[in-house]
Amino acid sequence: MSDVANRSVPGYDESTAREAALIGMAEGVGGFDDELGGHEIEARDYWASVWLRLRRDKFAIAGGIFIVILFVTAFAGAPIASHFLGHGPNEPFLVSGGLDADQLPAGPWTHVGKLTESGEIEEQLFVLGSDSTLARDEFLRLLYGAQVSLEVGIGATLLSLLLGTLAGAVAGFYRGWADTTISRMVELTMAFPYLLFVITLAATLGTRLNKITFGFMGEGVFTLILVFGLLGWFYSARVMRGLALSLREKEFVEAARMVGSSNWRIIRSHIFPHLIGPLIVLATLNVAAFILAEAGLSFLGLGIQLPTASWGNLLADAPQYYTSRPLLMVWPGLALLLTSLAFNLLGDGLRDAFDPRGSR
Amino acid sequence: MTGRRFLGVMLAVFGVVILSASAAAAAPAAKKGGTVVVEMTTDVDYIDPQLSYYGETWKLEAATACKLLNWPDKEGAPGAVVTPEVAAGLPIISKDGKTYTFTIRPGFRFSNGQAVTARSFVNAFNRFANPKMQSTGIQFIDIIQGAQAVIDGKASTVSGVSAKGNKLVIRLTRASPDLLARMTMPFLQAIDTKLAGQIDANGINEYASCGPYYFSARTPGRSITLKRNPYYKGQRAANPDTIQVNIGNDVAVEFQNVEKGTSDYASGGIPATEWKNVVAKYGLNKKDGRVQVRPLLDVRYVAMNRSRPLFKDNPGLAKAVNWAVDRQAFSAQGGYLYGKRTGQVLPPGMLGYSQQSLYPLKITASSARQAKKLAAPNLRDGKAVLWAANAGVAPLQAQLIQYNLKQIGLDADVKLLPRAQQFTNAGNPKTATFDMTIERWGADYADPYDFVNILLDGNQVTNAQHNNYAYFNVAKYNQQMNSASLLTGSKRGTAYAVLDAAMMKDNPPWAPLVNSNDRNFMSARVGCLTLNMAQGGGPLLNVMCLK
Repeated sequence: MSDVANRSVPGYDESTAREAALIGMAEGVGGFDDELGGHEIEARDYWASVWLRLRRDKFAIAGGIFIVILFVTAFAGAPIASHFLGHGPNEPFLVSGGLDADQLPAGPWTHVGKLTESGEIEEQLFVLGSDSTLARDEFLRLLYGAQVSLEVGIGATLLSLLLGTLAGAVAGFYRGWADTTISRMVELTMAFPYLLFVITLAATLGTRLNKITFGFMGEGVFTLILVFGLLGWFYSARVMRGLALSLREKEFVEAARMVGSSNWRIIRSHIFPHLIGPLIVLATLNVAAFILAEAGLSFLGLGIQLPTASWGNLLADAPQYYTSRPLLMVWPGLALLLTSLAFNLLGDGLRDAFDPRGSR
Repeated sequence: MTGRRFLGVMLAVFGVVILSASAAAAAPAAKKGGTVVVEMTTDVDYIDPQLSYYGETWKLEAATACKLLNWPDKEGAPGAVVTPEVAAGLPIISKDGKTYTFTIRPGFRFSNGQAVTARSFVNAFNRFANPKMQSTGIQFIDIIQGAQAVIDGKASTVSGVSAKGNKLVIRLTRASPDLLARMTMPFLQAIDTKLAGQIDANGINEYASCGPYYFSARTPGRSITLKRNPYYKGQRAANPDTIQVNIGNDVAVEFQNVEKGTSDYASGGIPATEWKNVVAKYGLNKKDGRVQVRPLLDVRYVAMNRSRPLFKDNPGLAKAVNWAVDRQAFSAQGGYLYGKRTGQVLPPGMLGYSQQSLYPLKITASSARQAKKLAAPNLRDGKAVLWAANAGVAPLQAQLIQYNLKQIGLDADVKLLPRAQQFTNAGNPKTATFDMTIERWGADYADPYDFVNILLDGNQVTNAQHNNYAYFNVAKYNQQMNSASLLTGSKRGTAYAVLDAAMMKDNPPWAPLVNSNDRNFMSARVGCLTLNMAQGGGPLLNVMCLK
């Protein structure tokens, strides 16, 4: 069955039928009803076409499903798991069971004891064992670490894309001195040794900003969002500038200009909507990059503040147990790998879906 | 020659041969040469002799310095006797105990060829006391006549230290029973005339020294190189040609390097979880074995800063912290044979140590309740800044203390710093922006003065650099410390024991945690080893030899 026939049934409405009948009459052709056995053809809009193409990419869909599950697990699953397990991610269990006989972190599926106020030992479960010799719940720290990773990844992506899109659109649309200034700023930002600059900013800004949490973020998350956002906008600015340069010459922009639309209205109503596709692609790829960058900085001790868990600081603590508890490196490593892979697969799929002419 | 005579001579010769052979078997000559490679996790504070006050630097200075008096390069009791080094013998002490006259032994030279004289020591005192140097340990010389005037900027030379020919005379303001031990500190090593003229609070990175080795190069944060002093004619060993210190590797990497023999000694230790494995694998304290552990005169503690609003005139909260800290868990972070839990200032083995049971060495439900009860009315704004080192197990220990404090309602913000920066900033009133700092103190020499007076005498808290990280300044205790320092023998011990107990019970400046062990892991290349038990622990690098 062809795509056209398959998709012509749903979405049929009266206006479509009227337009089709008018076209048919003008061309002296009989009504569609006769030719297609009573089914009408609906023209697919842009987003429907994108979704159709994306749907065909099984890897991208798998990536998307993983990300949805990750979100639910991180933001809903973590507090639920904490409630049912009876302890938090930062609580050490050194009284009983959190460390084994060799004073090493307890292995997976260990029952540990918690000293209650009455002096009794209350038994609780560590699904993935202890995180370190501090004997905290690795499973819960992994879940809460996912919150931090997603907060940093998404926050930094939103900030960098906001800055990049604004700067790129303005540069591409106005050209002239605005383009020159913004382009030079982009080149200047690109010329910075990115990693060293990020480390310096995190180390200096961090002391002042780490405490800002807005009531829901972990300590240090805001610093990383700011640092990554302020230094990560240049790539999206370049992409957006190129697109804006091309779009400003299109007929629909000419038409808008002719009917007296202001520049800002043209940018807002005619340029921006065309940037959404590339922006979504950039966003998915950026989220993955920023999650990895967060892990890197936390690994260096400059990212998320202790004792807040992040995949980076879980990974940083793990190597000292590499001979005795190698799984402690595996869990956060696997979480990072799968998340980064999921975002990249979704990003690739979206890119293909938004640009069907591009080669796969 | 008669037959009996011949037999006698032959027996004598035989005897000499046997004795020589047995002597050789008992103490085989150490193999000389090669490069001993040492790993340090973080950089030292300074290598400048009048500034460095860090155990890691002192391990190096034990090989480079020549002092009037020193500790012999031996372990155990023989290594704990103050012995003349550049001094020809022990000093002549006046009847009132205030004047010490040393005679300088000829033959000692700096690595640039300059001769060591009595003036070399006078220069050391003057440079040490110079206020522009901002030296941390000047409290050790404030009993010398004229030293305080230099410290206060009112004079340029310490009038109580003078040189005449090969005689060095030191005059004190009052008798000091531990003066000879103080003379073994690297601050007071001989310095050459060039270094004497270099007054720089940032420290000098290359200078001539008169011990078996000298600092030939230093790249801060990267490496330090010690080479044999070509002019050294003293009695101390100088086995390796070069001592190379590599700085900045993670403890896990250092461990691997020592394990496979590309490095010989990890000065910052090995991963805490590996101590049990290496003991199981190589044995503990075997003769010339790879794992050597000794108890240290040392204490790890949380200093509570009395100069800041949280702990100022707030002994209730200080006691609550002592009830709240989980000493057992703190020790567990350090791994196997880390040390012994404690709740008092003086370590076991120190004169004046008397075991007290003031605070719990293990958390129980009742101790947790007591901590909360004591803390509740004294929390003030309930917020604290906690400093800790950023390497090894220190971040884990900081998180543990942070959790313990949270249990009593104190919200601590942990700040991790490079170790040298941590204690340098903590000891400077202008940069001490902490409420609590996790510290460690190893004995400079075996005397309670070095713990109680040096760490808790309030008269020093206004100095540009000091070691009273608790900024503890209580007139009553200052007076008692001063009185105790003048006593000798068992009276001295009793006075310090009473002082320790009284402070910790009524107005604790610290939450003492653990008396740690000196744990050393060596490469298979190391052929001979002597640990420096008198001053800070670790191997004596000049004695270490390679197979």
